[in-house]
Amino acid sequence: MYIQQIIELIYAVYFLGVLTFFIIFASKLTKPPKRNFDGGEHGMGKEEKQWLVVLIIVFLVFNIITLTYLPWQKWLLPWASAKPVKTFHITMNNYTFYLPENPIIIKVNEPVEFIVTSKDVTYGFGVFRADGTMVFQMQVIPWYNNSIIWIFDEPGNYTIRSTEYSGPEHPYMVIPNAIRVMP
Amino acid sequence: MSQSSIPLEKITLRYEIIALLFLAVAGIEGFMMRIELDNIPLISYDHYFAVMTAHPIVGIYGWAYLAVMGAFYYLVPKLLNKELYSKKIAMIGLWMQTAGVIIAWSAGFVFHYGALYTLYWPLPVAWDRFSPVGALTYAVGVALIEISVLLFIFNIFATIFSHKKGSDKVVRNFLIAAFGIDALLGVLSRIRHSRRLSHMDGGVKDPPPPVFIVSVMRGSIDAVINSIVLIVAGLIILVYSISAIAGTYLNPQLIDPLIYKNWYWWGLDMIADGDVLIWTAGTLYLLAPLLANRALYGERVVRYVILADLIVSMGVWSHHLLSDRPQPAMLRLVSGQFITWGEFFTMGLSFFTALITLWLGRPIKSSMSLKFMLGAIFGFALGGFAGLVQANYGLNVIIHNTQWIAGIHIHMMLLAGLSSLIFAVIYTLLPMLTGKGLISERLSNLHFWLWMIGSVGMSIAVGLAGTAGMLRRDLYFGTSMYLPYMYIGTVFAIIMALGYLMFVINVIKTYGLKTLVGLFIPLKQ
Repeated sequence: MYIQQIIELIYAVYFLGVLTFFIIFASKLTKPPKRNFDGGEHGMGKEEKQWLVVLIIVFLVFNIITLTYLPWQKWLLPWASAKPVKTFHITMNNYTFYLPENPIIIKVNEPVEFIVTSKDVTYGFGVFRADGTMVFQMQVIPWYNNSIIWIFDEPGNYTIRSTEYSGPEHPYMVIPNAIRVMP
Repeated sequence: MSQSSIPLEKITLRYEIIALLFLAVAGIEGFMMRIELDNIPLISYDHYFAVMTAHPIVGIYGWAYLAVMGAFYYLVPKLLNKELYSKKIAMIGLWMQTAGVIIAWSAGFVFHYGALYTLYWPLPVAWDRFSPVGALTYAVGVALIEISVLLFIFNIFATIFSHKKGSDKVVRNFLIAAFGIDALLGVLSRIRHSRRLSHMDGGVKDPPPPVFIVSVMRGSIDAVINSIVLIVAGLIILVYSISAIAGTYLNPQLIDPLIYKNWYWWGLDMIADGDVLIWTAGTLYLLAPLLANRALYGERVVRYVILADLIVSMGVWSHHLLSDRPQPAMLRLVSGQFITWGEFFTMGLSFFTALITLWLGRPIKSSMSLKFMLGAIFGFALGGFAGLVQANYGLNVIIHNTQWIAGIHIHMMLLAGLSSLIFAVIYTLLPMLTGKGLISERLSNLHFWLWMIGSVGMSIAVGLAGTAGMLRRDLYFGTSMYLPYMYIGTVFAIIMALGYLMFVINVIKTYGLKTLVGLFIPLKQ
């Protein structure tokens, strides 16, 4: 299961939870209460404190999981380190990718580095699976070395596409099967 | 009739009507793009990106800003029991902003200028892709809009600061409240004297201004910063385009694209993560007690929340640069991810305050204002969470620039969230402004349900295309991979448009087309 599918699943559960809450809340709002509580007149009430605790728990759980569970955090976080086995220099100019080789050959589970430079405007460097889902991407800021390390965990052919709008010809900035990951 | 003798109600109605017309224009643009994304060639692809450039300008500054300005022009003086500082400035601002939006829109539609609202340097001055005349037109339009925003802020502040005899502390107290100095003094007082939050006076002995007014003022600070940043960006484009028209091509490398991007997003985010959220919170603080007929729950806490929102909005810009690898990694992590979660807390507490205020006021009479207010919180809750998924150091790697952000975050926030809240305010204001509410309850209910189902459905359909890998700001010629999402998105967009249509029909049925036109042009009886 790709991470994108996990995101969809979590969002679906969240959506249903929020929807259920609002249906129940709205249906009870127009009816007189069986009992009511008072609060909030003197600073933070008990209910608000409890809600704040819920928010803190969500914050901690979400951030801890995304800092530790995602595979690429092992080599992308500021304090992580991964030594690339190969480095590929790619240049972008006038809506065109200039690849060092086509296709770029990579071994599965081998750390590789892509250094992408643009000579004119901002582009994006995105790698996609055959089914269209994104593997990773980065922005390509002109006149800078934009570098990313990646470890492909699945053999296959991958498409490169510019992920940032760069002008009217931008939709043509795609090279199918530009990367081949070997077992 | 001279400008100063125009009733305030009429000024607000003019703002709201023009805002609603711009919403229709933004909707038509949206449909043009939806049809193109359905792989039905309607316009050329350079025109598609020009429409995409104009769309947020019309939607944000034509619809949302004008609607909010109109409402605030009425509410701020009423709540303070004062006269508006200058009705003339209000009317000049309305026409200036309308002209600015039309000019910026024409840059796209007439000159096919398509550098997008992001204006990533040096794309706005890439003369091999766009004409300098288009850039010049766009810059002039944006400049007019931003000057109008500054006039609005000046007018609101001048209204708040104007004081009567015997109340010479008004200016001081409002300034203290606007910048959150009262809240800061309160925190210091608590630290020094271990006093309970409930007993803090924050050093301000006079009654504090209503929280809605405090929100308007603090949100205005963000709006001013945003305007200045956009005016400077517009001036840079102006200089480059005039030079190009004169035959001298300035070197784009004079400006560093990464520093520019940081500075631009810092300013631009003052809208998205600043005044939109602060003004939204303020509006909820106003509507909830009004609907519940009771005091706002936890008003003292709310003042700290508004202050926190102001501080958070200054530090979140890096979530737009999470995929910019030359940006320092720690800055991306801290500003882009952790500080952005500050909004989760401030908005989480704001929604809690609004909802519990309603809960404690039960039974509450069902009304369109109530329905749209709940719908707005529902929309913000859905769109806000999607934004946090995107503003994540790890997840951004696979989500950035996909349709997830355009659909499930931006459009959910702006259509289901912000626009619903504006409708809640309009439904509240109309009886106050005109003496009668909309006549057809059936049409009002249809408006609500079609709008909510359409906006939420469209946002989710488009957003899920993003997790499937579809990019925003792109076209997929000859590819059917993402079409099912796009088709479903179009169906929901039609439902949403029908909701808007129900509202327009109801307004015309209630007041008559002649009356509405008569707000602008004096008609013979």
